Amino acid sequence: MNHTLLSKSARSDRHNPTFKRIRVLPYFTAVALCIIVLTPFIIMVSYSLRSNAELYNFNISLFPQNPTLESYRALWTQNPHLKRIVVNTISVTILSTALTLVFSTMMGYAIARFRFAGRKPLWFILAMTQSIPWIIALIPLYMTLSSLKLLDDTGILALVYTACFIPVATWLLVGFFKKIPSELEEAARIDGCSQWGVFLRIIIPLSTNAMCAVGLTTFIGCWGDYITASTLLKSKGNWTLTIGIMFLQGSFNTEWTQIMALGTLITVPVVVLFLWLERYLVNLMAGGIKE
Amino acid sequence: MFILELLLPGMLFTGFCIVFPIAKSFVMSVTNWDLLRSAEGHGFVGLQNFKDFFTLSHAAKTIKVSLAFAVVTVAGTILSGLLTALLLNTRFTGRTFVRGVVMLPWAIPGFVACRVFLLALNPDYGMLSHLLGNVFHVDSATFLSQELPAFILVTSIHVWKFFPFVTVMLLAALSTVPKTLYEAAALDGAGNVRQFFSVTLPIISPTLTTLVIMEAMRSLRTFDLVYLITMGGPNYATNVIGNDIYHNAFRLFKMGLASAQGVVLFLVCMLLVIPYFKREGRELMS
Repeated sequence: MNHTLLSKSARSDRHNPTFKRIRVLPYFTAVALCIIVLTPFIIMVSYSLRSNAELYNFNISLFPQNPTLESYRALWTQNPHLKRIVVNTISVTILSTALTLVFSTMMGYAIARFRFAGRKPLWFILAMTQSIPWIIALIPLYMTLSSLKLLDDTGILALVYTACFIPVATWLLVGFFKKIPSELEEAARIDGCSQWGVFLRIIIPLSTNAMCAVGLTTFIGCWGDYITASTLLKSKGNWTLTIGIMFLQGSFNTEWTQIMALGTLITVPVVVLFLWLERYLVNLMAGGIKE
Repeated sequence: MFILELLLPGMLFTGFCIVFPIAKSFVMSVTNWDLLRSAEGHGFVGLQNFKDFFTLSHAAKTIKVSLAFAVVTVAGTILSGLLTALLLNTRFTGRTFVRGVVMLPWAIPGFVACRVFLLALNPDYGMLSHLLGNVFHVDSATFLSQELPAFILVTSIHVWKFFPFVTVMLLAALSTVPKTLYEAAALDGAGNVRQFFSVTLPIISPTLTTLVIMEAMRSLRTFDLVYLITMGGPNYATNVIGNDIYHNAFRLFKMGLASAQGVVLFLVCMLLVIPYFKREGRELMS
């Protein structure tokens, strides 16, 4: 019995030397890891399914005793601005993700494929702009937008996000484009394809996975941003969801269950998108063109 | 021409929204730019803002806290990222599930995560505060009111949110380690620990170095978690530099002072990343 167990585990262990012989450890750490990672999500959903009465009951339990969707209904009926805010958030996020994708693909392709004067400084500026603290640029940008009377505008916010994410998106895509063999493009050129034709018909179709991954990072960044949006937007009608949570937090009365309901609603789309596109992101960051 | 067409939109965006503002912040840092007194105009004040920054009563503490925050969060994200990557690199049932799940903290909006943690640690109806109080006899009211617990809280949330990124990068690096090396090492009688230090570590160390720099930059850059949890308090115990800049700029409207701080931060970041980007740049140009 002992012998068979041992030989079985030895066989499955052939390719994982790090934890050889310690069979329990992976499961133990995996469970601990899942608990650490998932607890805040569970807590959030659990709070959102409570009535206020149950929230203020001091013997709070992990799971609600009488699950109810009351907070979601109250959130929707008591906050007339919410619909507007949801529309704002979705349009800002989609617009900036789309623009970032288009411009960073173009820029990344140029940097990866062509040698031109200023290529190195340009690449360096991109590298710097993606890593320096955004707050440094945000202050003067705020001043400029303020003097141009462009504050409090969701369209401008989308453009600022676009600028924000172009450097990192370009950076990721340069690494990807360099791995596409240039024979494909040469063959297309010989067949009479124009430069734009090569880019649009050969390069773009080959890069859909990488573009999904880049789009995902941009989407998550725009969707979850708080600092930029709260700085550039003022009036209630222009708010995005992350600032929108603030209006549930009054100075006398904080609607915690509604905050958690809205938090859940904000989180669900990102998590779904993320679980769907995660593998492309992992591949891109790993620098491979695995299909 | 084609190249220019490709580059132009991206360059316009980054130029207008990032490069130009940074240049402008250098100019603003030597003026007494104050939004509340904009009618008086903004004159040249030399290095006064820099002097003001370093003579602020909490300047020393802000610098100390920023450094401590960077060191602790970098160590935390790298270590937990490395451990989880090593774990997920082994084979076990359910690995695909864990791999998918482990990245989730990175996806949740920081704002939402902060609200959840604040509620969960609420002394009256927080689940975590009940757990901490009943099981570990820790009073969760101290988390926001005392210096060290507050610091531990914000660093923990930062690590929780950003270690998945390290995990994914390291998993990619680990997958490049040739299996034959482990077999050879095992034949030579190397144990798990020895294999890690003699085989795994040398191969993934370039990735590790990159990640340390990237995470250090992230620690200097990210202050929204701090801002949303403690606002820098209590008594500046979590007042990282980004939070201080934001506070000076958008709460006190001292744009000159905030820009001077920004310039200092910018130069520190340059020192950190230039060596790294030089190396990366050489690879790109090859």
